[in-house]
Amino acid sequence: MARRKCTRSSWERRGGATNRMPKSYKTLLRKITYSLAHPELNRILLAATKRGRDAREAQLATLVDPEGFTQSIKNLKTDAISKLDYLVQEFKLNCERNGSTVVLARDGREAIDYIATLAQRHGLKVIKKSKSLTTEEIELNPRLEERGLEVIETDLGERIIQLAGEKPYHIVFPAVHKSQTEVAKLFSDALHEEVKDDLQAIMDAQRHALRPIFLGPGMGVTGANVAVAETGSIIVETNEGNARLITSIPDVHVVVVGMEKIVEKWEDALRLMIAHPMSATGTRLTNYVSMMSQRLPLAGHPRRELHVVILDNGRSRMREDPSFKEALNCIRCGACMNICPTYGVTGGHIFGYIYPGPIGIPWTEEVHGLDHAAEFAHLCIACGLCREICPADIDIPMMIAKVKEKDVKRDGQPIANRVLIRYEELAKIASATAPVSNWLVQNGFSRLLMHRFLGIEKRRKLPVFVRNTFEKRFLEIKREIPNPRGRVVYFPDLTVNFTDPSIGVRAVNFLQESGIEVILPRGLKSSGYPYFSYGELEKATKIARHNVETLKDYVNRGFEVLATEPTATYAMKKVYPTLLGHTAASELVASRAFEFFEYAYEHASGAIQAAVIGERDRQRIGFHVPCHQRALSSGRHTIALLERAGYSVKVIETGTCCGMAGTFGLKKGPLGYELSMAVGRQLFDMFKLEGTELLIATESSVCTWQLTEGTGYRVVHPLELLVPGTPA
Amino acid sequence: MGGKVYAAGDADEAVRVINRIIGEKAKGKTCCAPILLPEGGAERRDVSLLIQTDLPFQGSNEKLLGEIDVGVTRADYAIAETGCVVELAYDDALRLVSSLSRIHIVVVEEATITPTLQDLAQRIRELVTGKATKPTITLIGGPSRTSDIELKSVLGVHGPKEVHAVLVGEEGGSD
Repeated sequence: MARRKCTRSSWERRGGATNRMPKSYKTLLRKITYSLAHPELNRILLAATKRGRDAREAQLATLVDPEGFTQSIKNLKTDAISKLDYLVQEFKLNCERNGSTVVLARDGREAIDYIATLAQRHGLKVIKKSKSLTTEEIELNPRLEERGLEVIETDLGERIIQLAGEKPYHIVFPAVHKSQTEVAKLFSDALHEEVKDDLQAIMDAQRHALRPIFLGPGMGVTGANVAVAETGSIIVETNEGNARLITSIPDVHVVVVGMEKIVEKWEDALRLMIAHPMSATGTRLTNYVSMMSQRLPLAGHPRRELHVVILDNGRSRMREDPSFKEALNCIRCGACMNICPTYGVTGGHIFGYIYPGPIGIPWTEEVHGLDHAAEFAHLCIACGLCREICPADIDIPMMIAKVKEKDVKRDGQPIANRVLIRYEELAKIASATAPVSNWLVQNGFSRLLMHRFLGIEKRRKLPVFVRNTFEKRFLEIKREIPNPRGRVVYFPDLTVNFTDPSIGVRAVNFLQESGIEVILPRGLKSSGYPYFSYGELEKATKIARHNVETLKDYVNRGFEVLATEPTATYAMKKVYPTLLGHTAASELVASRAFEFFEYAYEHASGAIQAAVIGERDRQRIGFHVPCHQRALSSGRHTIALLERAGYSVKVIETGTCCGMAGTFGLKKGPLGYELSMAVGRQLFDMFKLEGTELLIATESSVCTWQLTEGTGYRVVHPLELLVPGTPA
Repeated sequence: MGGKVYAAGDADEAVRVINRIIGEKAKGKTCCAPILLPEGGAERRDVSLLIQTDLPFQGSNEKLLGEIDVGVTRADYAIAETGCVVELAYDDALRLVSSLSRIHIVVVEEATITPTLQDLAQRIRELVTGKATKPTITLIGGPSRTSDIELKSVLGVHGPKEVHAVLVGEEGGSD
């Protein structure tokens, strides 16, 4: 035993797999390992994010035109950012006209200096704050404390974090990871008196302890949710009412506002006022919205001051960078945190520096630097859900891919990523050498070697490669269709071609029987999505260009492009155009790319009759919507067709990812298999609750692997149910 | 949003409703800000003198207002879409009456109810443009609340634990 141990460490010293790990991964792996070993820490977080998603969806449903609303938010933010220089000047002018002082702070240090000097000038020792992420960004509190000022956070969540000496865990619920018992203990220690482990008791203690602070001397510091250029006004939204007291009682009120918060008109501001709580907590309006245009007297006492510090801190630079400009559209609602599958199990102390969650990755990179961003950027598994939930429709996944790219260019990829990213070449070899390759892939010893040297998790069941690939099978089944009702290009993607050609065969047979001509263009590559996931954007772009060029000619001749793998359709519609700078060809292909069932529902649903099953043996189907399909049809055509064929279908979902995320779940260890299973656990349990006679259907091959492994149930592609029998 | 709504036919009934709430609920001092309500035609009168109070509004600063239990104020508008009232303050003492009290009673005229928040844009613009004093405009949706601990909703963190809205208009007469 001792000898083996010695061998291992000497191998590692000579540059084994662990030493080849880029430096940004090392701390991350340690943190994830700790987090996965303590699932109880995230119990409340999982419930919170789920509640956030559900409440938002319910609230959104009350709008007459939810998509139009999102579009209006995107438009107003894009418009404001495009003329930000003008808006900053306009805001400053109007605000000064109202009698307030406005300062432009280039960075955190300038903002902190100004605030500290102001407090000193007025002889004020206490700073009373209401929640402000922008002041967190510049670490205002510790810097003011270093200068001898006492800083008191008055928002309950922020106060808990301050007493615990931590950073916010979530932007909307900063202390969501703390249990009521822990909070009672923190308050007891801080107040030197026993605070009972009871919500009302904690609330009364907080109210009682902070009243004298509110009423006593000190300077008030708040952030701003919106600033309105046309009248030089500041808007602060709170639910507790603490900001009302902080903006009214102190003689000096300082607002720290990020430059990007300025909008032109009141119409825009009122729209954002609805968008913030809708996306953040699923409520119609924040409880208190204070709109301030100048400092008011208090009980007739006039000489009171309002200072507005407009913070740049990298924002002007972001505006000039086409890759990150869109991050300035963020309205800080936290919805992307609520849907992010890996944030949901790791939390904001791992998945974040100061700004947590998906949007925190580009923001951290731009404001705090690549080193801090790289510490959590690789937790992103490119599921794309953050883009779908974003109320400003920000392409967060693309910005994250660019952060990953910067890190990869600097530090390289870990071995597993380097192996998996070349999946197409590997699959070709594995197919050509099957069944020998399959024996190797299923063999315990070679799996151990792959685990150790290639970073492929040994516990993960790998797919079986076929020698008779779909490309070969297609030549056998291809038929000439006289006077076709439609003409399509079939995009098989990787798994159909190398591991499960029967899906493609069923798809082609089905289409041909419906009188539709099907072709398989020569040289079409698989989607290239793993390159995007792992931040190799140059290669991803190369593949996108190749596929778009290949498909363009067919689309011009009237062909439509179909894929049975949601990721392939997603790549063509949502990723290729952006990678290629929205060229005419990429937009053309995107506009003619469809999911298989979307097309089948419109053009060939008559043929479904073949699959009708008896009423008596209505098979129960648990339907899983893959993440990339959520951005497309959410499977509604597939479900309709399954129901028409006599199946009883129930969508079973947590509202987020199953955890597999392409090749992510194949990788060994905490940033791979283990995290992947932790993400999927809730979903597996939901399927298991349905009983063993349930059949799971999903259109994604990788979700199929994950659900098979996680539930032990049989998982099929819906084509197997709708086009039954052994395909010829 | 957790507030209680009462309907009052006219100013006199509004006064009765307010006094009844104070009588039932007050555990300490009451302060009432000016409440101008219509009184036939274009005339308006300040009914705050008819409300049972312990502390005058005029001249009371944060030290005095810090002791109030019940605060009574008038809101200038209400928004149907978001279920909130709109307070216009030209002195921060008004904001303190509605935020330091444990019980906030807010009087709003039915005729001022506006369908959507967007409808406010032009009104706000007019209120804060070209005037010497620009009011602080506050939307108030209900009692002070938080869900910061384990996402459990609790009322009355720093502001009022109860909000009672008295709606004054033609269809009054019940609560």
